Amino acid sequence: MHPTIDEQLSGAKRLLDLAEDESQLSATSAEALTNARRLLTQVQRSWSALLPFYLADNARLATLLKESGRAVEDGSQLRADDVVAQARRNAALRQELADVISGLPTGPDGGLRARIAEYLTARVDADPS
Amino acid sequence: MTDIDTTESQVRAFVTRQLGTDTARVANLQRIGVGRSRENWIFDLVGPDGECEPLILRRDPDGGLVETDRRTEFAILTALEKSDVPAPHARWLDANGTGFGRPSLIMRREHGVCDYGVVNGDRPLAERVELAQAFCELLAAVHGVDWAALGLGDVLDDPGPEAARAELENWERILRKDQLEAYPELDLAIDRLRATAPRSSRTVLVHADFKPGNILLDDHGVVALLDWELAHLGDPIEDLGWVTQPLRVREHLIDGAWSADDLVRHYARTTGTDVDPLALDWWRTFSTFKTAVMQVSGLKAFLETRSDEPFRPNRRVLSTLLATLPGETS
Repeated sequence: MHPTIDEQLSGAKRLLDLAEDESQLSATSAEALTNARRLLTQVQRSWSALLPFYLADNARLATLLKESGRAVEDGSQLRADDVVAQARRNAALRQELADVISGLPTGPDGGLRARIAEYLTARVDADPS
Repeated sequence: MTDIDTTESQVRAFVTRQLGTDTARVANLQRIGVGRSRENWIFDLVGPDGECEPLILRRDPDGGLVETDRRTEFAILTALEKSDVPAPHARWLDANGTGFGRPSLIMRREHGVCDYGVVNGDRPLAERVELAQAFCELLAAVHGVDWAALGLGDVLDDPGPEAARAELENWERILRKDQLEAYPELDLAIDRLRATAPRSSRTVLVHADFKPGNILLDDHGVVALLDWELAHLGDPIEDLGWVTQPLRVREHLIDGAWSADDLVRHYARTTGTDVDPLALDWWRTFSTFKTAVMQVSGLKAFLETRSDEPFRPNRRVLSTLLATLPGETS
């Protein structure tokens, strides 16, 4: 159990803090440490929320794509606890959505643009990564 | 990054070639700034009579966040010397990187400091408002440059009334080149911006990265406007959209004392031109889109180890972009 992922990330950040306290650090090294800490903080904040986010987003995306006339596999062949597979599916579905947007008619679209905008806004708010 | 000994010998050899003599001495060479963005090296060129010229070498990184042409930037700086716009004096160009390994510019080093937060800094409010007005007038001066008379039409394309479409296509091209995955948020932005692109009423020299962080100041005010690498011909409202976009409020506006409307009104009074509010809205949204594309390019540069800054299209930028997208036109 120990060290947990969070404990390892916290440990890495603590070690970066120690290195940053060195008075001889160059500006370049200090900047690099700051950026490394920023990445670790981001991972620590998001890693545990990623799988549920991908599962929910894949379901919403598949529904939206079907509404726009796309044939979408339901993803049931993927393991629900496989975060890498769910992330890949998310990337593939997002590519499908990008293709849908690129092919939208210039005229009336039956409200599809508005539904896509609403979905994307909600996704940006919910994305923990 | 190139080390100081290598750079010193490169500078010495390059300057000797440019001057046709080795009587000048390179002194006090040091790198300023950090990271792997453009390398800035300051040094003094000391002549045989002891006369000292402060210079700065700006060398491209192995791969910039956004590819720009050093030849064009040099031509713009050289042309601006004949205008009233305070810009650095360009000394020499190494367009192909034969002297410095990568394309580089050597410019005269102006005095003063850049402070991206000066408009909301420690100075008294009245002084900050005065400074914000001076920045606005500087932008108006850039747009007032007679670019045709200065010969800039020879190095820059004039997009005419289609400046908005041209810039959108330019940044879409950068997005397609650098995106590692789909960004439907940005595709929707392109779709909406393309459908609503305004026509510009006049063509001016656009700075395209106008901000206090690119303005050198001394006790008397503006010394020079820096970083002309994105400058091009286009719609003056592009720069106004850039400085009044929601993401840059803290850099350009003062809560309760200098609003976006104040800035636009001051600009209109200074230039004697009208600013179309619908076009301004479009350019604001475009500016946020451009910021997102810069982040996409920055992410690629980081993952390819060309940059040490872990950029990414972040929530603030994407949500601002989606919130300001133009609605349906049909």
